[in-house]
Amino acid sequence: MTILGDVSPHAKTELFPAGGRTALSSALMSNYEAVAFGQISTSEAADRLISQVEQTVQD
Amino acid sequence: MTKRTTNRLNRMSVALIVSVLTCSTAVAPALGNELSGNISFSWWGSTSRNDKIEKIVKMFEAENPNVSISGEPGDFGSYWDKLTVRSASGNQPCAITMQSRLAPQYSDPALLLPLDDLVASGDLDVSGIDQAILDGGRGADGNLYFIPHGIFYNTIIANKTAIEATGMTLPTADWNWVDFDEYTRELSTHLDGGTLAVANNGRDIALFSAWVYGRGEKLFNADGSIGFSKETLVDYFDLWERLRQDGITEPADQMAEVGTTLETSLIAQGKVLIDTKAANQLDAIQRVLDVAVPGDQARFVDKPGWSRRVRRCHRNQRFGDRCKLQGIGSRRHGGLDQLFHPGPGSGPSVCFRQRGRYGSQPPRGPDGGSQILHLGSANR
Repeated sequence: MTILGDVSPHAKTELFPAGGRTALSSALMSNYEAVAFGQISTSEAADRLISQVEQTVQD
Repeated sequence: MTKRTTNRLNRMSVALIVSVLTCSTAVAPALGNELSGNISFSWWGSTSRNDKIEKIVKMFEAENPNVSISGEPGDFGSYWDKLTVRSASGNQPCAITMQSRLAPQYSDPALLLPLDDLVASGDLDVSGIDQAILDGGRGADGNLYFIPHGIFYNTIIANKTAIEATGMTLPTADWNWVDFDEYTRELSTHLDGGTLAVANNGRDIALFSAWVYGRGEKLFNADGSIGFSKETLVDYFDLWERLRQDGITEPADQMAEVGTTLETSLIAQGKVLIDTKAANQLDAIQRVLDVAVPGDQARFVDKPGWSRRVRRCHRNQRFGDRCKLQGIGSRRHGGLDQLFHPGPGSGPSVCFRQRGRYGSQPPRGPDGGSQILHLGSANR
């Protein structure tokens, strides 16, 4: 709470596009799990995540 | 009852009063009159939160004997899918616990009831809420859609007892990602095969957020596009892959089995010593840990990248080089002004729908739609 008092005057509001947070959270989970299970590389996972999230927020 | 608790209850009471007015058909015409009707109220959370909310509900019903509240507790993981489906069919609960990071998809006057008039008239008393926090309940259009009555931030939860038993101390608040990597690796050398240093957060949006902001980027830009680079994302995945492959964090199959409930989390079960969770989950984690490993005490520590030291990292060329060379440092400080970014760290809220029905698509006009009114609360 001390830290909260220190920083709250500087707090910034982050705007998520509609569905953005859910899409990112879901894509992060599924794509990292695919990496951890050896199905895809981290680079491929990143490409997939970005594509999936962009498609969601654009819909 | 403490003053703080009383305030919370008062705010919750306001929330429920409004819900009666906006949802039930058998209601008093104005605040202050005797209220009547039934309110369905949904929320997510652990057993600890369920117990607290149920007590609040009973207190409200005792004060308003003609009002009944149908509680609908749920698990965080499935809560949002269920809410989305129910909202699309106009069948959502009257009072809905909401979280500000998920609010944008509801913060539309076609769906949510702007509360500015209720606040202006005094029907909603927001006098105890800091203006900056209250403004966090506004949508992109500037309307006030929810009234926060609590905030939280995500942090690192550490098993203090088990860590100190290894001879190590808890991480200090000024650690950064380099320290995080080194600390968890060193901690791992003191542990046997049954306990891991850190839970695998390669898939966790809260810690990923700290990583992104620590690099001076953001999750989303103002126009809704992704605000972080592919490189930043790949580096994050690579960090956790190195930790996983080196046995510092749990393997994929175990990670998949953990699930999303607090009770099954590895930190609560005493199977890992560091994890990222919301700070206000500490109590619930401790309750589970008390059973799993009696005597172990959990504490929270700031996430890497939130410290003034990170700023120094970039003032100090040598340390900055070290950050850069290891590929896990910050390009810019992840300073304290990001600590309470309401993004992945903001609190849930209680929302209320208005009377109205709609079909497969939510209404887009001002009439007939389920409108949601936020009365924010603390975290899950």
